[in-house]
Amino acid sequence: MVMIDKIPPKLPASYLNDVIRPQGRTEAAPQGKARQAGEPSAEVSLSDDARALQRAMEVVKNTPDVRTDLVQEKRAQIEAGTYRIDFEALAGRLLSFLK
Amino acid sequence: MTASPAVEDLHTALAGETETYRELVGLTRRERVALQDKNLTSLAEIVRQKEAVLADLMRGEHTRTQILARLSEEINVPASASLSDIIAVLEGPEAQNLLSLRQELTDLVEQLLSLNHGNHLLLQSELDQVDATFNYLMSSTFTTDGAYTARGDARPQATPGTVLNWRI
Repeated sequence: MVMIDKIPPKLPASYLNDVIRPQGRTEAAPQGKARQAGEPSAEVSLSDDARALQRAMEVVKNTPDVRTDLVQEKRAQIEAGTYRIDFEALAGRLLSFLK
Repeated sequence: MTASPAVEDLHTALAGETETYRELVGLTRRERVALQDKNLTSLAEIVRQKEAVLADLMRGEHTRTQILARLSEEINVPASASLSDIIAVLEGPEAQNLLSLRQELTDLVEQLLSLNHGNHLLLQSELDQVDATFNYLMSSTFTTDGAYTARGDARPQATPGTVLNWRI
């Protein structure tokens, strides 16, 4: 069994790939296939860093394409305080009148 | 007190504002869904529609201010009078109609403020998540491969696929 006890965040990826894909291991073996006698074990235990990276990749995979221009536009509106202040100012004046 | 044209105009103006706020609440609900779905294209369209409604609201406020100025002369209330002040000097169905309109409009405005506040927090949270994910991937992707350029700079990986091609 290959154990990865701790992967530094800045570890060269070539090393990471070598460790995660031990020599002799191909793509994921078909599930349910029993290991033949004498076949080398290639089980991998991932560190917290690797798991975090895996989770990040899953987030990216499941996130729709991001329009950075729209993101920046919304951010600018929030930072400028115009995204909701206009409505709040109008609504606030109306509420004052309604009271 | 007899019916005043300005009171009728005020009722009409407030009814118009009520419809505009109802539309705005609907848009803000859709905005919530777009934020939850992380649908920025839909979000941009909704914000564009909200901006158009905002223009309607500003016109509505301007109209109401003009009506209040007339009303202050017609029924002898200050121009800064609240709707409650105005209702207090009215009688019968006029007062009753304005009362029910006031309640409806107040509910809509409070609903809008609550929705808008929630959407703002949601949007801020989504933007923070985008930032965090982007920064994390950037820091993971652009690691060096241990080699250096002729100028002595750490050489980045040849392709960003270092992380993106990573399979477990």
